[in-house]
Amino acid sequence: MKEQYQALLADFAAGTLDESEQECLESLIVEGEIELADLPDFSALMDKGMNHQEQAEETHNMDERFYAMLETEMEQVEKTKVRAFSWPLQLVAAIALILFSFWGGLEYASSGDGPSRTLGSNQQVVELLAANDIDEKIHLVSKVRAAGQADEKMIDALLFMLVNEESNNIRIACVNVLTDYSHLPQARLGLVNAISYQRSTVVLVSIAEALEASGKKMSLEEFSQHLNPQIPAAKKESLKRILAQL
Amino acid sequence: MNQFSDKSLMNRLQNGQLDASGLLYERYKKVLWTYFFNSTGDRNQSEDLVQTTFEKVLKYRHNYRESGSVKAWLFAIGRNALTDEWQKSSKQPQASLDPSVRPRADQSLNAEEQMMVGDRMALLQLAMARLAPEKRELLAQIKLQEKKYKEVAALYNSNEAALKVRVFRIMQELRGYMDRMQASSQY
Repeated sequence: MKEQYQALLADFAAGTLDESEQECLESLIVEGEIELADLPDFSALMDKGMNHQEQAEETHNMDERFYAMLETEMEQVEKTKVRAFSWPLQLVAAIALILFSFWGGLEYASSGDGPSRTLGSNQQVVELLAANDIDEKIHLVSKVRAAGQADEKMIDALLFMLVNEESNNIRIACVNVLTDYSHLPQARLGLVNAISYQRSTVVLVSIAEALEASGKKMSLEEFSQHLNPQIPAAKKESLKRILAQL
Repeated sequence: MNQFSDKSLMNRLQNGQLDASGLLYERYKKVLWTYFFNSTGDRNQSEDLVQTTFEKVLKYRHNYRESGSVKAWLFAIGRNALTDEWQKSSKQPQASLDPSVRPRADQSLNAEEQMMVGDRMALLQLAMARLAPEKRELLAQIKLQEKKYKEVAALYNSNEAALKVRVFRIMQELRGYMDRMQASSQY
């Protein structure tokens, strides 16, 4: 920027530009002689004055609403299709849920430390596993994330849901929470084990991202070895290409 | 095509795989929210606008054309949602918007604002809150597009030079607000 423009900018800063000076400054901006970044406060406004993405404080409520809306939309799409009702699978899931809750109860009964905290955690786990509604499950998973402290039982419950839930959105919500704990061996191992139960590439990519966040990224070969053998070869190859770019 | 590229996800979405929008949402929710927040200054409204944007993405998914950028399409939808919101609130001026984020013509400062005047950055933000929404939105777009004026100008059906002059005038207005706020705080 040439020195003769400094006086103009100083007047701009002082708010004392007259009409002709303002026109002059505008034409210098149009001609590129003065950049907008040279204007007092412009850079500060752009660099610090406006919210940065990193500072964005959108709440978990937004995620809940989005996934609830998505589930509703998907249900509407599903209604238009003939859906095979697989009651034996639902029966198996229900039995697994009862057994898991029973195991949770036994674990609680046998543990002696921190009764109130454990009770709260157990209640949350049972509440989470017993929920019927997809929206409710997503809401409860989001609550776990917002609370920011999942204990071992909660991590187990989330891993259980990651393997057994029908809805991919619930699975993704679980992975989102587990990402925060992926540095723990229990969560990391669970995530690795869950790979073979997934058919959805979106969920698989989320798991790969969670494992990457753990700081111990799996190699592509290692990850691929865990993939479900029923996934068609073409899809598997395609997935590998995506994972290679992570 | 990369299976998880934006375009590929849009293809899936158009083919009825709605869960593909989950990845798009995760990819763009933050940047969209930031854009809305910089335009409105209201957290809740920004969340509502992200939700509205994705509702429209699902509703109008078949309108997307592969030749265009998904991000640009998404932000065009977001911008329309923001404009709709302004139109609604201008018809109902006392609607649920937070009064602190509505443009304020008067220069009176409340007690909290009086304390902020000493900090130049805070003063700048207070002045921003007094700008008209469409002016704040323009500044938010420039930040979002990383000061690529040509691209921002295209969004506004304008040219780079005209856009820069417009920004210059907004900066001048901001300075005016800042000066008046500073002066009023000294009384």
